[in-house]
Amino acid sequence: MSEAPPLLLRVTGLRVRYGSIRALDGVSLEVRKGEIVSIIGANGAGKSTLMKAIMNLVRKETGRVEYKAHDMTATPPYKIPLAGLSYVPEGRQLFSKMSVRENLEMGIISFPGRGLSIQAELQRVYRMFPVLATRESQLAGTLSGGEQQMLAMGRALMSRPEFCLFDEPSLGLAPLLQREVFRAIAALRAEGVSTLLVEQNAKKALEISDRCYVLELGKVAFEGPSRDVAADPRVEKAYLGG
Amino acid sequence: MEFFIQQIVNGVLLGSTYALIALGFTLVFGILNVLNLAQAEMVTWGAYAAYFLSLYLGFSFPAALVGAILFAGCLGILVERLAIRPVSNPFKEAEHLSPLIATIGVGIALQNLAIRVFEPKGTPFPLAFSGAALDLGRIHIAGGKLSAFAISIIVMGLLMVILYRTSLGKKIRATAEDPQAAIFLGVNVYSIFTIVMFISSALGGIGGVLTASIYGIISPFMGASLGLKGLVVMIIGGVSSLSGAVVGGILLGIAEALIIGYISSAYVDAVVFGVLTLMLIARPQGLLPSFK
Repeated sequence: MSEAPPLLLRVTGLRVRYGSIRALDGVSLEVRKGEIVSIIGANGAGKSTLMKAIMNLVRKETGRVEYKAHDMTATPPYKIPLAGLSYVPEGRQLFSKMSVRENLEMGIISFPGRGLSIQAELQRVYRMFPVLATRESQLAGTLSGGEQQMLAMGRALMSRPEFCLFDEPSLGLAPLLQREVFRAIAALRAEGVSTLLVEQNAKKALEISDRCYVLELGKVAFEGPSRDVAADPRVEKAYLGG
Repeated sequence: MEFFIQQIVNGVLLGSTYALIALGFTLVFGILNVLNLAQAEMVTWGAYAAYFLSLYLGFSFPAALVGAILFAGCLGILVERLAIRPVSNPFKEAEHLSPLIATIGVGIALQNLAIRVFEPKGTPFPLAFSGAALDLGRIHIAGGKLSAFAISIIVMGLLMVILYRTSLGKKIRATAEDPQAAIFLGVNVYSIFTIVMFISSALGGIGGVLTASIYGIISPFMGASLGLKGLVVMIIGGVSSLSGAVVGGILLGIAEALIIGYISSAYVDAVVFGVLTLMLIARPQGLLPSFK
């Protein structure tokens, strides 16, 4: 490590509450260019809320989100993807009454400024997930869970984002499909895409990521290079079934 | 038998106008999650817009129709901005009541404004259709009804092209199904709401102009009665079903024509709302499935 790559995302002191329940209690984190950063933690630790808060889909009580040194705390949520962030939510939120192809097109039609060709990007996503090409005109709601996950990821990648947020991409998938999802995330890094990854599969998340944040009850309990976090006896005991 | 077929034809022609008005209800309900009862007044105000454009500016029918579309559409945008947006949260399914009541309020205000400003008893409509009648054997189709039907079909066709063949349509359907997902894919859903209100209200306005052209008269109360029919059609067809609005409109038109032809025009509303009641008991989700 001679020179650290430039900082892309910086989150400082994020607090979110749902009614009287505090979901995030002062979370700070950073992602640098080309990094895969994972977030692990128990159910209810605030992982998904953190993703939504970055995308400005939930109201933040306090805290600041900066992307490439631009303050995005108060940016209208529909403008955040235009800055280069793509989000694959937990549960995928596909348009089930639309075809696979139309879902993918939804990932690009609001980005005319990027000068991308829909055809070329479709072909790129089909190369990445060949199963989607064979399902092109099928309604998204009729796909299997694994195919739906590929579609959600493909949709997010249509606009050639620089930064991806994946929320529980392996949830509910068979091991073979989980492997394919992680392979795709690792392949993105080779293209220079940075990733923030929320995962319930802590072992896999630590394997694939450069750095990791462990969330507990809305706070960062510890953080560090994934190798060190994986070796920490407390993490091993709580999350890796050690 | 000829009489029966004649009434069916009349019903289909009449029903196409109901379908237009109902599509306005359906779109707003499907996308903004609001039952927009002000839609009824778009029928009235669209018709009066065409009336004044023709009377004072000498507009021909097509020009007056375009004028009515713009007027009703912009009025709809105002309704969304002033009455719906401040009291609704489209991202929470449960909140239907406040915007519903707000649109009832706007509807009452618009109707009473029309009663104050215009002749409450009604006014002859200068742009009545005078097209040549079509005679198919013993089936007689009045030229006006035929023109109104043709315009309705063209408008519905255009709507389907917009919704299913353009990227705007894709954004509209995506917003209908999952507004939050549309947002994180870069869609400004509030501008989609504005566009949908324009389209829906314009559909009401077109319905008003076509009805006025068929009957040759307009009144401040025409929207209330047609709007109610549009609402019935939406419920019969299926609340978020575009094809349901079209099929429901045609069915209501046929039912009315048959009641008028075989029983009495005095029983039209009784039968229509009777059918609605039965429908709500037997098949509350409507005839056809939702588009979202």
